[in-house]
Amino acid sequence: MTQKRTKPLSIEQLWAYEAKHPAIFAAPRALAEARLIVDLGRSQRSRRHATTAKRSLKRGELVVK
Amino acid sequence: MPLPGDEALNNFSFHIEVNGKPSLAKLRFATRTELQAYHRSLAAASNDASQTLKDAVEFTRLAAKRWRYYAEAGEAVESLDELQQALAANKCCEVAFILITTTTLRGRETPIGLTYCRRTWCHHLALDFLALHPRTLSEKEQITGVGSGTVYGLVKLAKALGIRRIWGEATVHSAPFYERLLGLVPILDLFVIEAREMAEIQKRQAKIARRVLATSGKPAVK
Repeated sequence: MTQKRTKPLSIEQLWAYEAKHPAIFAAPRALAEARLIVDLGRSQRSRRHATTAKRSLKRGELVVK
Repeated sequence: MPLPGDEALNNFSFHIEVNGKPSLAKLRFATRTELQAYHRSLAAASNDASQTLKDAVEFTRLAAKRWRYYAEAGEAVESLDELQQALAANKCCEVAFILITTTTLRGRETPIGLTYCRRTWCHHLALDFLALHPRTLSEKEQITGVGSGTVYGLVKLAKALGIRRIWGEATVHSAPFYERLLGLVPILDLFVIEAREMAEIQKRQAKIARRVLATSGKPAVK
């Protein structure tokens, strides 16, 4: 699809648009990658906690009810 | 390559409007400490907050986490100097960085936006996240022009580094913004800012600068 050039907006017109549509954007691939990084961090932390809890249980430090 | 005045100080400035009056904003590289402070300044969005506010908080947090991940791998920088050093060491490196937009509110330099970019292996700039700070969405302060001004700041950075293309993935939410900013229709899932678009963006900001100069008598930002 070819693109067409439009008449440039004045700064007032552009700012009026931005006031109603704040610039809060994320590239889909970047967003997906960032969410994956967060999930990776969470699963690493929960594995570490599970390992720590297991060791404490073996040493008799934890009482599981 | 020696950089002119402002840029050499890691300060890419532009005009915005705060409470109906022209004001100056600055775009600069964020250090790890500044990023942590920015992160802390984001109050968790409550359940009844608008989707816009929730997105502002979520995108900023995710951008910061992504930057930290790449920083741990040695693939992110905290300053223009570091970026230039990375380029000198390997001209095909891919490097991420975060830029923070600030302005002076009530006498204090206050962050109002965050941008996550990558310098790609072929010396282009990829814009991955552009998110205003939630305080710009509150009714306490009417702050306008941060999004378009930030892109102008990126154009200045691109010019300073000899980068000829800024690009990014557009979505159904951001495509209309880029159409208006770049004067191109339609913009689908990709936006590209090259020489002609950069010139238009600079021309628009120059008009604001001239207007500020004419009304205030103070020197405006070029």
